Amino acid sequence: MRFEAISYRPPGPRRFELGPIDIEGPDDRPWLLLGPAGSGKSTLLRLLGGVIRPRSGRIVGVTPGHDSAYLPQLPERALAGRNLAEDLCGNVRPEAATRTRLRRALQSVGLEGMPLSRRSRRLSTGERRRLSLALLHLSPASGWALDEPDAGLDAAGRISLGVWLGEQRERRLWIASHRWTLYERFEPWTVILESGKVVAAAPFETVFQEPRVRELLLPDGVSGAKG
Amino acid sequence: MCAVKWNVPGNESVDAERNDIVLRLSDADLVPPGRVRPVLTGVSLDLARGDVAVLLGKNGSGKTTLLRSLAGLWPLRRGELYPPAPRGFDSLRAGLVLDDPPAQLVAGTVTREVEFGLENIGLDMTSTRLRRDAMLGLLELHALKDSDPHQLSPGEQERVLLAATLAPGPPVLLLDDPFLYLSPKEQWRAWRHTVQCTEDGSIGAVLLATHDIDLAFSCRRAGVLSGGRLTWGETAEVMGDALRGNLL
Repeated sequence: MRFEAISYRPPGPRRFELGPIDIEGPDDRPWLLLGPAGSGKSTLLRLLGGVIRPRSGRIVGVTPGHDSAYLPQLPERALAGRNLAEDLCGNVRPEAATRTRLRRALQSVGLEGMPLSRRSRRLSTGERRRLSLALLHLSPASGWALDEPDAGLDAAGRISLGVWLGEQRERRLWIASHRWTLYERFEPWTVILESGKVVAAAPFETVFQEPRVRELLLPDGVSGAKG
Repeated sequence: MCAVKWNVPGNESVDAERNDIVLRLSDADLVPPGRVRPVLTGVSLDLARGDVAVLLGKNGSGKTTLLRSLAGLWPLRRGELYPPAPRGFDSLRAGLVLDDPPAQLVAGTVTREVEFGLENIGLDMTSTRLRRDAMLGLLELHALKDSDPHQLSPGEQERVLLAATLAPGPPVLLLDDPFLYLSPKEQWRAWRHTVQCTEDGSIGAVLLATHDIDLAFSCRRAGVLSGGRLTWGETAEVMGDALRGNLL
């Protein structure tokens, strides 16, 4: 899979610009995007998910929006249904939306026992995050572009997320996060971004060896450990 | 006699310290708007000047309900809130940062966003500018100062909101998972600055809701929500109990 001279500039007066980005990486492991807030992680994922189109360049090996479903950073904002069932059905063809499937999707994210008639807006932030992950579970796309899927989850939620993603061996995963230790065991291909540019792209095992990466991501005073 | 003794400056006794209360909730039942049954019952807590406290609990345990009620956004079903909030939320009474960054931004530029809170407390223009620039510097926002906050990434928006809420120096600062979209480095810095503002007295006290155990241990007092009740006390003790009860 390859990004070829990808660049993007959001509409409006903001000065942020992504790219040009030229990176190549393996297909057989998840990709992990790291970088400070505003470095371009979400923009890259949204390009992958087909939510936005690049100003120039192309992505080789993935058809954005077709092979990939995008989980936005504030997924609860996209939940507009009157209840859990309506929100979950938004992503599947009606004939596929059996109660069993919907319940299984809820169960997979630790919301088992939650009635399908429950109003989505009555859920807590963390519960709505889990609901959004259940949406992905029902999506037919073979790849997932996940924008900080762990944000706002409690310890149990992070554990089930880690276990669940580990089970998605057939799927291609692109994940942006600040909590990289959660994904370390997947041995991801790791792309480090800063101000819209790629600082490093390497296997997770070696990427923190670069002083520039440690300085960018680790808290002040921590320089030896991987975080 | 007692009252006099408690007001002596530099009195080191714990009681005297706890007497300087900036926020207190007594035996309260809390209900989000539109709900019938209370989410939390019999909740009591207090924050004294200089307190750095953390609020823990699983997803759906009621952290947001408690913070919004403390802020005066949601009226109490039962119990007492000090200082009272007769007119609902009032930024002079408490600063509040919600876990949905875009929902709280009001201004057209980052600079204006930070100035907004300062104008609300009636600062003159010179002091407003000084305080604004100090906050922009503290949270490393100078490069973004002319940007539209709505165009920023959620992590940048979190830093803008923190700056805007710290700036007027609220008596108590209530933070609902305010660092979700920051890198560990950015999160650590933002938290250090918040604690520093408490230590130097520019804000009264801070209560942070989070799932981050490391951050929690940096706080002196802690509360854990579970089963509709709040356990409140010294951090190590409360967190030890929470761990044994599998409440986190």
